Amino acid sequence: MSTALVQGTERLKERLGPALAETDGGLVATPPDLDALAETMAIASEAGMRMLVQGHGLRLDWGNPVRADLTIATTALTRVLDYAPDDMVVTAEAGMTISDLNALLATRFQILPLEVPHPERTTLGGLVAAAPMSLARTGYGEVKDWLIGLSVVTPDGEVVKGGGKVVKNVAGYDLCKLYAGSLGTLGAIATVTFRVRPCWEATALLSARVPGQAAEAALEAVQTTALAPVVSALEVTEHAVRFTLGFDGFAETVDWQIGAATQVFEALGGEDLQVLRDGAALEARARLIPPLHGHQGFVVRCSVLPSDMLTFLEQARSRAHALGFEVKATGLAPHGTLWLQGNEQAPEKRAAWLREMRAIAAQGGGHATIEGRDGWPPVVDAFTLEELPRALMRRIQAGLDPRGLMAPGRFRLEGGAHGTP
Amino acid sequence: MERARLVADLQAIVGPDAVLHRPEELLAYDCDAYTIERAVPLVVVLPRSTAEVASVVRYCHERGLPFVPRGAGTGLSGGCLATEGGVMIALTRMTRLVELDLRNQRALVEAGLVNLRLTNAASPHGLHYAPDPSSQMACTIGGNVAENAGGPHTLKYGVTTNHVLGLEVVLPDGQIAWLGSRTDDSVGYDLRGLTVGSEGTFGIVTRAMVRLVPLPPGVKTMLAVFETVEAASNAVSALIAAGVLPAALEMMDRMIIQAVEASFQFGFPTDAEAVLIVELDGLEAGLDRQAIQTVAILEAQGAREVRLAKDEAERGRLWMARKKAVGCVGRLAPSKVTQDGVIPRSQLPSILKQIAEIGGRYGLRIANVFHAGDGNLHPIVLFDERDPEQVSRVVAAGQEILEACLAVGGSITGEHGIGVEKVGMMDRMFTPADLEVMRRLRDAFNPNGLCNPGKLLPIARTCVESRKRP
Repeated sequence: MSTALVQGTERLKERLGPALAETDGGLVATPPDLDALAETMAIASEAGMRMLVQGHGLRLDWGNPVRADLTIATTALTRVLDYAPDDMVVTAEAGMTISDLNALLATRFQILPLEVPHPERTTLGGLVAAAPMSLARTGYGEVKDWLIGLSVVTPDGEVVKGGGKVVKNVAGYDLCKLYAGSLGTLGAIATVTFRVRPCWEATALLSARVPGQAAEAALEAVQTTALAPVVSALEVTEHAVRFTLGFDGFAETVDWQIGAATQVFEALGGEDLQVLRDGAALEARARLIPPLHGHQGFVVRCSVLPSDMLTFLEQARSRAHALGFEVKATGLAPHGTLWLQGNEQAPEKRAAWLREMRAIAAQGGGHATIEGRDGWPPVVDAFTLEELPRALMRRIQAGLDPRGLMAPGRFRLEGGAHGTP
Repeated sequence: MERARLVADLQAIVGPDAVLHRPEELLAYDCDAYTIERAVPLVVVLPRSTAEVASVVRYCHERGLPFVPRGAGTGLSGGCLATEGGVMIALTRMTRLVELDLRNQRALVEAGLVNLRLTNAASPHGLHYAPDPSSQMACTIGGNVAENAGGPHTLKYGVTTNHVLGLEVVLPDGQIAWLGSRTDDSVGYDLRGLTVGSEGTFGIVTRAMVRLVPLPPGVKTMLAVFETVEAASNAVSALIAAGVLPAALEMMDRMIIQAVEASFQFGFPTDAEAVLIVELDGLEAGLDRQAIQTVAILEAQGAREVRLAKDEAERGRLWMARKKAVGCVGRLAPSKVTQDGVIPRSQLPSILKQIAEIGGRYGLRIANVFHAGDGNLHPIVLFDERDPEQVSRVVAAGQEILEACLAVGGSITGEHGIGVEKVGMMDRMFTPADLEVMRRLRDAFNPNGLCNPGKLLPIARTCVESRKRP
């Protein structure tokens, strides 16, 4: 360890006391408040320490691997700083979990309607930094649609803010968009401000299995429907596609849509129609969310044109078969988003498959991103970035984190060619 | 550089009919709809393609010439003002709807396409482009992207950034980049989201891939009439607090009502102090109950009358009146400035009182027509711009209104942008450290500062010298 690192560690011990732990995985700081977070980063930065900011560490394997000298956990930063129910706006520290926030909001019949895996262990800062896709995207959008302000600690320990506390605001550059999905690079998200919405009176869900030959027609029907589902998902297995539509709102609005959707699926030869209501519907929704990282396998999130989903999937599966493994898929029909889960362990086979899928996706302007980096060959990049966006990202990073201390290597901005399988 | 040489060079790029340089031609380009400040560009070019835009930008980049993008010039903050002269690049000849993809509910458009034309092309197919600024009959999609434009229906449907999937941008060195995606998701930093609302300081948007949204099957539009502004603003706060989610929730005060009535004879009650336009939309099922709930809240807050538009024609007239309201104010004074503050919605009653008080103190008439549902105020200050003394009072009153918005936790702009108008107020809302981050972001895209200089960010005093071009 360099002298600077040793001195930095000593200063951190002095500042943080028991909030600094030396673990098998290295130094872990858990600052007890926002001032301590900023001071921790100032000390670390002065010592030239590379930093990895995390919540409960659920999505640390998203993006490319990072080597850090200091892990900073936001898990002690759990306070609500401001909740104005009449304005439907809430500000909280980054370490609060989605579940805890929603428990608070529920007391005023409000909600942050983002449905991601493990809300009880997903912090708000992690939600912003990783920007996982929400199952209910069709009705309620993504994290960046709800984030209206944030404060960030820059790598050298200065607190800066973007956005504000009002639901409409175009003053200055939109830092909320920049930090959403920045995966711990650029700075540490310290506080977040979300607009929220009222809860709904009723919820219900309809799911139906559609035989292979009717699947394209059913896909088009749900993609261009006049109904207003908040969840519009599909699950693909060997011979059939199961469509699920979830509705929230007034009871009569939900009922009417269940009736109309039932007719649509019956006309398409849908089988095994199931209707679930209220709690059962919400539980079924939670089960639809793909796992964070593949159990004994992998998850790749693909984005294609909605109309191309089934043909893309067919290719994904036939390529996998040729390599000797299976792929199952969950998708968000109106968005062309597909989570492909493969049961292949061998890194080289995964890489060969991914290379083909990326080429196919790119033909339609789409892409394929690894969610969960474990088990992939080191050379494989989690992302596919085009040359100019990569250059812009590199310049942004050079501006906001000139010494490259925050989650270095996450996006592999250095090279153009290297890393693409 | 000698003007004749500049004109000849640019004509070689875009053709002789696409370069304006005579003083009388340039006059139309000396401001946008914010008319208090004016600056004439050296020359205006009207490219017809992305390649031509890129060539013009590269030409400017190589010679250190400032350049400014411009759409229809309907902006309200001087965002396309040629503050340092230079080359103005007007996108108004790039108006193609390149691709209308009905199945995937998206469209690829050139930056100069007029907002309403996109909706008109999509609506026969049951779709529309949701952001609907009041200037939508004239303003361009490229300008909307630059300002992250809103409109009445963005209360429910979201502003421009929520509807843009990807952007083709000519970067300030002339390279052509695609930011975001052609599909719904992008990879890496959200360069698309950062560029939307960057007010033309990151480059020149030449194409946009935008979402189209299904037209709602059911719509109910109501006009609620109030005896006092306070009661109307209380009603707005009560609707939001009750969790009603209207598609649009707009307020007009008496001065506006009278101006609109004089122009349109819609039948607005000219004795009322304020009216609200409340629009509910969605599936027919449930819409009635939502309407009943809404009317009950409006009446409980003292609405003396709630009138429901009886058909599409009446609804159309109501929206026409609302969207033309700012124009109707032209009857009342020779000049006007439309302010654009935002406040938390619960603060509406008190802020409107403060605005009236500020108007009184400066001896200025202030009319209000605005997006009440999202707390986005548009106080319209009436004056005569030929009188410099009045102009200075208008500027001072505007600043005081924005200070009042900031004091309750608001913002100095909700949809019009900073431009040149509010650049002096950025340090009231942001700290030097906040602004430094923004400066570094601008420098990442626009390192020489040639692309739309003088907008959005105040010049850091320490950097003034180093930023001067040779």
